[in-house]
This record gives sequence, C-alpha cells and structure tokens, in this order.
Amino acid sequence: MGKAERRIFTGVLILLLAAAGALGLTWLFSTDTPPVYQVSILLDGAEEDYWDNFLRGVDRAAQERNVDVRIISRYEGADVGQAQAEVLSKEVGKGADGVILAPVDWAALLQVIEDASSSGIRTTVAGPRPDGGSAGCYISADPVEMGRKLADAVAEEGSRSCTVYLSGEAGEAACLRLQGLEARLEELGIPCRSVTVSPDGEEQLPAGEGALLAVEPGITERLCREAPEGALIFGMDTSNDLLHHLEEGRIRALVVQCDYEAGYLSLQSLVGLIEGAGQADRTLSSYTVTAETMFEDPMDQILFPIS
Amino acid sequence: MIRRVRELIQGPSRGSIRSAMFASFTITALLAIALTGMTLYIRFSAQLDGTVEQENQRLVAQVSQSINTYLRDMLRLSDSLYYNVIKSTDLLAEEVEPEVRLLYDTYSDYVEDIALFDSAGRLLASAPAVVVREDVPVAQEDWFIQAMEQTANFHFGRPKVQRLFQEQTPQYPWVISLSSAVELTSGTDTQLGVLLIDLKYSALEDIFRNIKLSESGYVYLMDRDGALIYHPERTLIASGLEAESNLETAERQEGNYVETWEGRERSIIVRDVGYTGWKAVGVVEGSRFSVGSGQDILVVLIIFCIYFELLIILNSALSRKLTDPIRRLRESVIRLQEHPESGDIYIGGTLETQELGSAVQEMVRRTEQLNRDIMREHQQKVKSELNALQAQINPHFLYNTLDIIVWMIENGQKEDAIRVVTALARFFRISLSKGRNVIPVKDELEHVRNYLLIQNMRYKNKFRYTIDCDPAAAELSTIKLVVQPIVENAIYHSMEFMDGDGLIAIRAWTEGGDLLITVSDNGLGMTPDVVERLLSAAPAEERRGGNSRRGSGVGLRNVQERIRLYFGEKYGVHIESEPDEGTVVTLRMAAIPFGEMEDT
Repeated sequence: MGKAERRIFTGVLILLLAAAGALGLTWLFSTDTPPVYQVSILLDGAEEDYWDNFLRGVDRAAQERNVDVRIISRYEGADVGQAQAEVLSKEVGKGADGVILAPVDWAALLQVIEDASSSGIRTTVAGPRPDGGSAGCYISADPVEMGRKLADAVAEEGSRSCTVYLSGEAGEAACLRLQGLEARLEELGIPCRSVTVSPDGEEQLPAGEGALLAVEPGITERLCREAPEGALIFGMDTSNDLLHHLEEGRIRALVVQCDYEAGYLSLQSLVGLIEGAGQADRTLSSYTVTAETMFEDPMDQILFPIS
Repeated sequence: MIRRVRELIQGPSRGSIRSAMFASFTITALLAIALTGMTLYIRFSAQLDGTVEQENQRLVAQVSQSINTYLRDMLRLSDSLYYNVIKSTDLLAEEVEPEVRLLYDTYSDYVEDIALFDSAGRLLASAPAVVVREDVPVAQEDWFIQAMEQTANFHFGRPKVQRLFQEQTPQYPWVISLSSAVELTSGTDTQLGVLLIDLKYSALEDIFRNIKLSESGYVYLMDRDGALIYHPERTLIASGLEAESNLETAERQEGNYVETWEGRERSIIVRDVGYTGWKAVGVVEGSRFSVGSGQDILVVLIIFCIYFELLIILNSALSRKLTDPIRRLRESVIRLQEHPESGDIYIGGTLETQELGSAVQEMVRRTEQLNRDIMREHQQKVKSELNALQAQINPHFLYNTLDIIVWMIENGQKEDAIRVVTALARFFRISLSKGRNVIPVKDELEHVRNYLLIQNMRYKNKFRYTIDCDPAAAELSTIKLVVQPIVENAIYHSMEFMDGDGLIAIRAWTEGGDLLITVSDNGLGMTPDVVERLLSAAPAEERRGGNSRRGSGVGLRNVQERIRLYFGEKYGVHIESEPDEGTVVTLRMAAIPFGEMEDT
C-alpha cells in the first residue's frame, strides 16, 4: 500500500472507530424501550372530586409520555401544610423522578422543594408562582384574575354587597383569589365582608349578607348545602356536585379554569423538566360559567372533559 | 479556483501510474456506491412511504367501516324498537316499557338511555326509568325538532352532555343522540312521536382507541359541517391549547390530501361515513422515511467507512497487481541504463506489458548488436587503414634496392644480384601474403630476414644480425609487417652509424601464454622522451620529424595499434633503451596458433 493510500486508510479507520465508539456509547446509554418516569402528585388535601378533571388531564399526558402516576390527596395531621411538606420529602426520598404539587402552605414547602431540586427531583406546581418560588414550573390560571372575574359575575347579578367565606386552611391560590376578588369588589364599589370558617365543616357557616362568595370549592359546596334557599352563591372550581348545583341554579356562577388542561400541561411540563428541557410557566385561561352557558360548546368540554 | 480544480483533477495523472489507477478505481467505486445508495434510498424511501400511506389509508377505511357498522347496528336497534315494539303496541292497552328495557339491557354497552316521546314531548317510556328534567323543554330540543320535521330520516346529533333526565347522582355522560319519528298507536288514534336513543360516547371512543397512524398520526371524526364528533385532543382543542384543521377539511371530498398546518406538512385521508354524512379523517404528520436520527446517521457512516476500507484494500491490491509488471519493467530499464551489463529487461505481466518488455528487450539487443557492429566495423576500418599503411611500399627502400641490384649487375656481381632480387621477391611476397594480415611467426621472421639481407648488403655489412625463433613460437600467429618496421628503425637510427660492430638480434619465444618477439640492437639508444614520442607520434608526424625519412614511413605506433587491435589492449610494443647502449623493442602478442586466429 502506498503512502497516500495508507494515509487515506488510516483516516477512514479513525473515522470508523470514532463512529463505532459514538454508536456504542449511544446504545449503552439508551434502551429500546422508552423510559418510564415515576411521578407523584400531591394534591391540596381537598376532596379528590374537585381534582377529577385535573387528574383526567394528567392521565392523558401520562399515556402519551409513559409515566407512572401516584396520587396523594390526603394528609394526616392538623397542619395540612406541614403534613404536605413531610409527604413531599418522603416522595423525594422514595426516588420519584418528579412531583406535581398543589401547594397548601408555601412557607412549609419552600425548603423541601429546594432540597428536591438539589437532588435532581423536578417539581411542577399546579398553582401560581409565589415570590421566591424555586419549583421548575407553575401551571395555573391567574388566581387574581379569577377573583376579579368572580367580582364581575357578582356585579352582573346586581348584588350590592357580598360575604366571602374562606377556610382556615386556605392555600396560596385561594389567598390570591381573595386578593383579586376584594380588589375588584372595591373597584366596583361593592362592599364585602370576609369570614373565616373551619375547614372540617363541624361548625355551621355564619350567615352572610348579600351574595355569598367562596374562592375554594369545598366552601362553595358547603354554601350550597347550608345557605338559605334563594341565596346568591358564587364560587370557583368544579366538581360534579358543583356543576349540578350550578345547573340547578343554586350557584349563580362559577369561575373556573380548564382543569383538564391544567393537569395535562402539569405532567407534560414536568416530563419536560425531567428530560432536561427548560419549561416556562403557563398561565391558563379562566372562564365564568353560568347555568345558561355550562352546556354550550366549548364550556361543556371544559367542564366535562372526555378523557 | 479553476486552476486549483484543474490541478486536483490532473493531480493523480501526474503521479505514478499506480496512484492514478488507485485514485481512479476508488473514486469510481465511491461514486458508484454513492449513486447506488442514493438511488436505493430514494426508491426504498418512496416505496416505504407508499406502503405506509397505503396502510394508513387502509386503517382509516377500517375505522370508517367500523363506525358504519356501529351506526348500522344502532339503526337496527332503532328499527327493531320501532317495528317490533312501538308500532305493534297500542299504548292505551299495553306497556311498551318492558320491551324497551329488554332491548336496552341487550345494548346497554352502547346505549346510555332509550326514551319514547309523544308529539308534545311527553315521555311515554324510557329505559332505564327516568324522569325528564322540568327545566328541559323536550319539544324544543334539536333532536326532537329534527325528528318531527324530517320524519323519514334518522338523525344523529353532535356529542353532548346528557342532561335530559333527572338523576339522583348527576353523572353528565357524553352521548350522541339518535332520534327518529315513530308512529304511535293509542287505541284508534295514531300520532307521531319521537324515539330517542342516546348512544354512549364511550362506545364510539372505543372504535378509535389504539388507532394510530404511523408514529404520530391519529384519526378523528367530524360531521358534515366540520364540528368535531371525536378527536383524541377534543378537550384541549376546546380549551384552545391545540388546534385542528377540521373546518378546512370539511370542505374536502373523500380522498387523500397533503396540507400545511401550523408550518408542518401532513397527509390527510378523508373517508365518508355512511348514514350520517360524517367524515373520518386520518392525519399523518411528516411520514416521510428519512435517515434522521443520530443513530441512523452513525450506522450509515460506519457502513460507509467499512465499505471504503474494503475498497481501499481491494483497489490497492488491484492497482499493485496491475502496475507491478510496469514497475518491474521500468526498474529493469533503469538498471540497464545505469549498468548495461546488468542483464535482461523484465518481460511479464499483462499482454501489453509483455509486448512492451519484449519490444524494449529487442530494441536493447539490436542496439547492442549495432554497437558491436559499429565497433567491429570501426576496428575493421582502422585495421584496414593501418594494414594498408603498413603495407605501403617504402619507395626509398625499393629505389635503393633496385639501385643496388643494377649496380651489382653492372659490376658483374650476378650472384649477389640474384640473392638480392630473390630476397626482395620473398620480402614482397611475404608483405603481400596473399592479402592475409595474420601470418605465422616464421613467415614474419623470414620477411625480416630478407629485409635484413637486403639492408645488410646495402649498408656494406655495417652490422650483423641474428634471428632466433623458438620452435614453439614459430607456428604461432602474428600480424604481418610488425618486426620489419622495428628493425628498420634500428637500422636507420643506430646501425647506420656503426662500423661493422653493430648487432641486431631478433628473437621470438613464448612466455606465460604470450608470444614475445624482441628486436635488440647495440646502437645509439634513445632517451626516455624519445621513446615516448616514438609510441605516441603518428606516422605523418614521424615523417615530418625526419626520423623516418628513409624508412617505410609507418611508425612504431602503427605497430602498437595494430597489435592492440588484433590482440587487445594488454598487448603491444614495449621499448627499453639506454643512450649509447642500445635498444630492446619487445613485441608482445597473444600466443595463438596459426590458423586459429581470425584474419580480419
């Protein structure tokens, strides 16, 4: 073999070995079957019914992205926020690839989320981004905007005053909704009284004046059960019962987000974070739904998603 | 740029033929591989695309057929309900509900509920047993109105949340309403009514479950106006997160299309669904077969490199095999140029190189032969010239000898005259030797004896001479007329000045395979420079020098050259001389018996 031939042969041989090495490494670090991610979903301790559509969206995304989902909706202990933080810590320790979190108490969760991030556990929050929030991604309708829409619905109904019921365990999202609601009511000149109620429902809800408002679905349901007939009830979020009350006219209006979309996007963005792609926060649309519009397209699909 | 390209193209042809051949083979093979690969890739990918497309179309047709079958079954259920139950029942006399329930139970996997209404929208029968919601004006519902207005047709509605009936636990199931006008018999009266069958949406979903076109394709269902009946992302489309081109596709007829949607090209397969005017639409995004993934590219690269390496080895061996004979031929030619005695030209390899080698070999042989011929001719020419020169008769010698003969005759010395004439005749006879140049030593000595006899008489016995020949040397070959010029020189340069005590001794013998003939005299002798001049000066120069004014005019050099021409360079004339002492001239020749040496 001549000199030039040897050079060409050696050059191509080096290229061949490099390509073979690269291919070998690729095979070594990849498998034929797509990875199955383990994801834990920590809800906010409220009834799972309220998360029905959200979980349908999560299921849909889980099928698409090959994810095993574990749902935790109940926490033990009086302090639900602290209990959630402890459960989060345990899930991280169990080796979950990622966590979807509906936060109860941000203060209790902040450190745990940071620790999880350090351990390589990705977190997506089904809620608005708080100050100093260190989770990977936040998926939610704007709670302040939702509060404002609720105030607009109240004004449209012609109410001159209202009472807002808030549970003692209201989460961050509920507090922000309240902020938006109160600010808008003030703009509209509708006086509003806030009432804090026990979350366990042992005590009767105190009587309210004017429209009765709730920014949490559980309190909305209690209003439907306990408020006098003819009361103007306005609430947020959905469940089958809430929608039934809306249909029956017990609830005048609900301000909702598309929970299915929220669940779907939460898991999609979490998987994106797990796979190393940066994910931006997503602010979803919110809707004001009444009995007249709840079965119209597209609200019927938003409120009653087909999974 | 053009010059560089030209240099690149011409490059291989400027190097060795082996490099050029290797480059040509490799480039040609690579080109062939590349073209073949590309052609196969294009063909294969087109074929695969075609196969995949056909498969997708088949799937969509299958879905359409499944939906057809499902709808047909539901229509049969409706017909069965009507003709076997409702039509034959007098509502005043009988209950229709049990049979309705029976059919409902049979089809409960597909049917959410069945209800029979009169023309006013009052519920007559239902399965399961339900109560119509008070706030729902049945007669104003779309399904009711359509059935009452178009009594000959079945009407399939769009998917909706069922809220017609009161439920203890609200479920809000999704249904597709199938309504048709029916004839109700109540006693003697007949009136139109509406049979409503709410089909479970989940049953329709099941038809589409696990239907996947290619890697990322899907199938959806829409009505004639483009409203989605089923879509795998229906909820996300409703929320605005996703979008679909259903409204554009609603205008298309059954067939296959390519569209650009949100910047991506995709294939659309449209198939009509019977009974309803619905369309099943298959969507396949970017189904073109391509080598896109990193692994695919690496595999292709590895295969290419392996083929390239094999190609290099093969081409290298092939080009070596083909050019080796040329290389060996070239080396043998170079070797022959540098060392003509090195041997033959290489003849081997292909027919052409063999012919070339043979031709070069023949050319070399002819050249060598020509050279030999030229050399021989040159030698022959020189010999002829020298021989001719040697054979020239010295006119002075002849003149003087004839003069002596005349004087002897005039003085009555007949005997002496006869001897001189005889000697002269013998002298000339041997000089001629019938044209031969090679004669025996004895003849050469006889020639010089006759010469000496004549000269002795001429120089009145100023010298004497002896001729001594070894018998072994007598029959050896010698060139004629080599001794006489030396004797002539001795006479003219030495003996002429002697007073009777001059001696010329000629002796011939063999020694070490050589023939030696010496001519010694005790004359004046010569200085070394004279000796040197004698062997170097040409005969004409000698005549000009005056030394051979009275000789034959052919110098010692002539003798020297002739001996060397005939016998070789190592033979010739050697002179030893001492001034006032004498001179010995030795002729050395190869000892070749007479008759064995070629006379040229």
